[in-house]
Amino acid sequence: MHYLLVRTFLLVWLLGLSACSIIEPMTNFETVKPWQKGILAKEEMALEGDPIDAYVNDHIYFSKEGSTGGTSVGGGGCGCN
Amino acid sequence: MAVTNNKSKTHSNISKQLGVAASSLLGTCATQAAEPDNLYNNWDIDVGYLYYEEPEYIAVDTYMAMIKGNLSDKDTIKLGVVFDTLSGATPSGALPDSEFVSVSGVSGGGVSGGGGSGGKVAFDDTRLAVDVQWGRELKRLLRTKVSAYMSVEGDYTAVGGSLGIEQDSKDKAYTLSAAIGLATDKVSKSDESTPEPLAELGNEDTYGAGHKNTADVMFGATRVINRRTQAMLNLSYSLSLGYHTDPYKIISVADNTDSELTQVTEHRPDTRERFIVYSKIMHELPSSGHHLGLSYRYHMDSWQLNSHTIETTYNLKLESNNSIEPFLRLYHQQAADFYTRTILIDPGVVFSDVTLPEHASADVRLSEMQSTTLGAKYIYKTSAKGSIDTRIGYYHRNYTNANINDDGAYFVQLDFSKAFN
Repeated sequence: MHYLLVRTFLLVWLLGLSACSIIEPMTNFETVKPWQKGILAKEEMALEGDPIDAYVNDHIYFSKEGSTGGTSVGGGGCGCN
Repeated sequence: MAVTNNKSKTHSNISKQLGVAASSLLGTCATQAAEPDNLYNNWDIDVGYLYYEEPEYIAVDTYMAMIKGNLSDKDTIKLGVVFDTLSGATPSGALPDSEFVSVSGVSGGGVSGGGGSGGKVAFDDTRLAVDVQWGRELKRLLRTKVSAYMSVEGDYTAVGGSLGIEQDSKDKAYTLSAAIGLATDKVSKSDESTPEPLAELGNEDTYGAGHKNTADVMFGATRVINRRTQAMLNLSYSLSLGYHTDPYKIISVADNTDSELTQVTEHRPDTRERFIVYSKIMHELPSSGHHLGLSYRYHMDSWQLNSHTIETTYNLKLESNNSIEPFLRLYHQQAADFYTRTILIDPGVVFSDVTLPEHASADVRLSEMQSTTLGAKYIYKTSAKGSIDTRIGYYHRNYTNANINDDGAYFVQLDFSKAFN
């Protein structure tokens, strides 16, 4: 029992630490000059994501769930079941 | 760029050099600015295929093609075409052991006559959707986007359009956007009819097609947080008026032991208002160079179908030309306030004595639901400007107080993309 508690504590601590180490650099505001935007211009960093993936996701979740939207206006309605 | 505002000759030269340097860092778009003569040959083509299957219900094949490019130094165009074929069965809304199901004419041409049984209805349909978007740069930091789309099925037609505007800040640290969208949908069974709402199945009158009109407004902002992080926030409002009912869905009228008396057609309110907050952040981890994406959506609804959605992607570069991207999506929605599993009656009551609610639906998509999607995408770069992507996922839904406890689906997606410039 004691061993389980220690393991749980360590796991929570490690998860918390890794979460902090990831989140902390994400919230540091800095002025970024145009020539410092190389990383932000990478394909993998695009906020709108891959258009085919976005379409597939919208199509599946629109058809199967009660809520939709958030990323664009209009959107193609369908009678999908 | 901020440095280009300087007026002296020296500073002007410096700004030109910086502009070229930034262009090389910013990739295609900035390269266009530095090399205007190449504008008219910049085209991106995406071709995709999706196979989606719910083993107990439907199978869908979807073929997608998208092309985007420059029409001039200030105009861009994007075209998309999607073709779906759907076949299988869909939950009718009736109790799973129902013996009375006789919904007819579910979707499209190849309708399985007489409907189905056990709470399922067989169906078969095809769908074609086309959309086009035109973008124009009005001033150096100001752009507009105009789009139109049309989607046609055997029993559903949707037509719509949108107008949007985007303004960058002088240093391009943030972008503000606003957009409005209008759409009109025509809804019916495949014979162009809709059933009388909340009428006993087999004794219902039929009417013509239903119509629904929707207006959406969205305000957005994107912000560069630091050289490894950028974020977006969108606020959307949507109002739809008209026919929201699904003409195929029915509800069992049953007592508390699920002994079914009969079935009635469903009826949803003719107004729906939704308010959506969507946020997303993209970050490159300094230690590994991997890319983390996180998004959260809160959906508020006048039908009380409020929901939370969290999505994450994690892109790991395996080698110079391939990478893998696991993804996870968690979703929870409340039930719509008119959702009901059955219309509950006392044992022995006859239908003429049943008091029906004003609105009711047993569609599981309006029930309380939790869903999880887990999958991965493998990206293989065929060249600096082309890639072949394979994406697989498993999508599981759990329902509360519904005629189905849970169901699952898997999907496989292939995507070929190539840039010509």
